[in-house]
Parts: sequence; C-alpha cells; structure tokens
Amino acid sequence: MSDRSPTPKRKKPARKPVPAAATGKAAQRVAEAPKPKRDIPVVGIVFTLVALALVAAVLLTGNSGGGEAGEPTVEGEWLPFYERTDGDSAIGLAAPTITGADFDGNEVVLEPNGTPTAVVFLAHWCPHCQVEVPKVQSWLDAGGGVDGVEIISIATSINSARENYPPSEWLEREDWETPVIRDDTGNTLHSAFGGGGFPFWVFLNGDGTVAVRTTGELDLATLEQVMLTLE
Amino acid sequence: MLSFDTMRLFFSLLAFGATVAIISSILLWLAARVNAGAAEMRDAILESVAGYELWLAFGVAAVATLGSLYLSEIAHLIPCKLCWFQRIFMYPLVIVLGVAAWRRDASVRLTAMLLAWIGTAIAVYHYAIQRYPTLGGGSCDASAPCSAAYIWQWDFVSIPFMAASAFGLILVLMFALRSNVARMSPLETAE
Repeated sequence: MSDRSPTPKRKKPARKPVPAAATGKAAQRVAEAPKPKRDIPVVGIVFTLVALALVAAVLLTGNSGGGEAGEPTVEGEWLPFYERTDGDSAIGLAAPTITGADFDGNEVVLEPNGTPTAVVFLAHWCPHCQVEVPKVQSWLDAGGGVDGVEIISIATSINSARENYPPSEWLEREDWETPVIRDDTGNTLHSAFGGGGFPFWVFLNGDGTVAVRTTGELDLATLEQVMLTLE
Repeated sequence: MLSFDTMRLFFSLLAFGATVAIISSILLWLAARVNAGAAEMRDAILESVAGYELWLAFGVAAVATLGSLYLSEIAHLIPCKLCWFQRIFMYPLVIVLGVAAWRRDASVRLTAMLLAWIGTAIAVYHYAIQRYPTLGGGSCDASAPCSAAYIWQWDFVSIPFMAASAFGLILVLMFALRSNVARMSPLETAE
C-alpha cells in the first residue's frame, strides 16, 4: 500500500492507560473474574454467519432451470386408480393412447400396434426408481428382455425442487436406452394410467388392453415372467 | 422473491453450520473434562452466550418453523407423516422458548429438552429411512413418501437432517443454559 498514514491508528496503547476497572460495575465484574477473559461475541458471530449464509446462497444460485416436463396428449378412457390390495379392475380395459416427446423433443407414441408393451412410470426423485433403472438397463445390456415385447418409460412427477433433477441427466447417466415420454407438470399420464406410486409398471397386450399393473420395484425374474405372458 | 434453489442452499448452509456447532460443542465438552485449556475455552464460550441461551434457542426454533412453512406453503413440498411429527415437536418450541426468553425463565429447560429430544429421535429415524429406503417398504407413495428426500444437498443434507440439526442445537443451548445457571448463580440453583 502506498498511502501510509503517519498517524498511528493502534487503539490498544491508547486504551491501556485508562483503567477499565475504574468504574463501579466494570470493577465489580473484573473483581469477580479471576483472570481477564477473552470476550467471544457468540451472538454477533451467529448473526454474521447466518447473514453470510444467505448472501452465499443468493450468490451461488443463479436462476434455476425451467422444468423438463412435457406436454403429452392422452386419448381414450382413463384407467381406474390402482389399488394395491384389491383385484385390479383395470385388467382387460383398453389403456389410453399417449402422444408425447422425449427429452430431445422426438415424438414418442404409445398406442395399440400389435406389440405387447411394458410401460414403466419413473420419478427421478424416487429412490426405488433410481434402483430400478440401472437394474433393468443392465439386464437389457446382458441380452435380457423378451423378444416381441417393447418397454416404454414415462418420466413423471418431474419437479425441479426435488432431488436427482433433471431426469434427463439421470437417465443419460444410467445409459437408459428405453424410449422416454415426458409427463406434464400435472402428471396427467401417470393419472391416466391410474398410477398410485413409483415405479409403476403397466403391462399392455398387443391390442392395448391392460394385462398387469403393479407398483414398486420388480425383480428381473418377475419382470421377465410377466412380459412372457403378454399376448 | 428468492428462488427455491437459493432458499434450499440457505437452509442447507444453516443446517450445516448448526451441525458443526453441535459437534464442536460435544467435542469441546469432552475435551474440557481432560484438558484445562479446553475447559477455559468452554467457560469463555458459555460466558459469552450467558443470558442469550433462550433467545438463541428461540431463534433456532423460529427459523426451523418458518423454514418448514416455507417448504410446504411456498415451495409446495407436501410434508410426509414423519415431517408432521417433527413439526409437532418443533412448532411449540417457538412459543415455549419465546415466552421463557421473555420472562427469563430457565425452568423451561425440561419442557424444551423433552420436545427437542423426541423431535431429534424422529428426525434421525426419518433420515435413516431416506438414506436406506428399504427400511420403509418397496415402493414410493405418490403423494408424500417419507423415504423420498425432496432435498439432498451435497448428498447428505435433507429436510429431516435440517430438523435434527435444529433440535440438536436447541439441546446444546439448553445444556449451556444449565451450565450457566449452575455456574453463575449458585445460590439460585435448585437442581
């Protein structure tokens, strides 16, 4: 620094000659304390740290990215809500057809086309979905899957406020090769299929009718077994 | 209006700071039993918060309460069952500690500690479920699953983590209050 002040700014020497313990109250306090104590301004430190945390939070977070939710369209009757306990009343009903898009904007359609289809609804923040995806992918990588049965995934319940967002990065990280349809912000696709949880599997026969619906992680043996029963 | 990302980071930083404070307090308390220097430092810190323990604890409870209300009412994160139980033990602390701080009533310690201990237990259990979802079942409820963490900052700070840090810090302050009451006014100590 070039501008050196000629006036000594040190405060301590100035203070020293003034006996701090001269006034009544201070004298009493000093008298009580056996040794001079370092004052730690804990309350001040707390307020400073909280303020710093707020400033840091504001500085470190720019604008949060927009949602990855899509704008799919649904045609046909919605399926009844999936109840885990009762027999599934949706079995045999025609599933709605879906026209949507994947994360790259490519159109993906789910409609009866003669090919049996396993539809899996995935929520990026759901830990069970996070287990399911790599499990199924490694099964497919190892030559798994059932000939003549397609798998389509629906990225649903997309919420930038929740963990493991965005789902596109998650699925890319897992090398998920199955076609993805993005659900909208109201989770219309999930509701249209009567979904009550995640992961939510809906197995459709080639004519688009529901064969099986189930929530929760599926072990691969069960998955393969169900896929083999599809017509 | 501050974005959700900003508030999430802010709350996470607060929770992290609270956790550091709790762990340091415990370490200092242990060290103070065997080391004179540490004991001196402990006393200096105790002295510096003397008279403010209840206000600080009230502040922690108030921030936790407002934070949880922000998450549910403004960020629209639906509280799960366990979240509700933690709220039940956190929200009264605002009033209980606020009134006690106002009236300088150190006897609130027992009430506050009971609420905080139970809250801590629930928060720790909730955190365990988030860390190991299989403890809680095989699938995620669509509405508000306890095992799904809305927030998972730096891979370890979740909402129950924040709750546990707030409960823990209140406990530390209540312990400090006890020490200070015992140390500074031995005549009034009725414990």
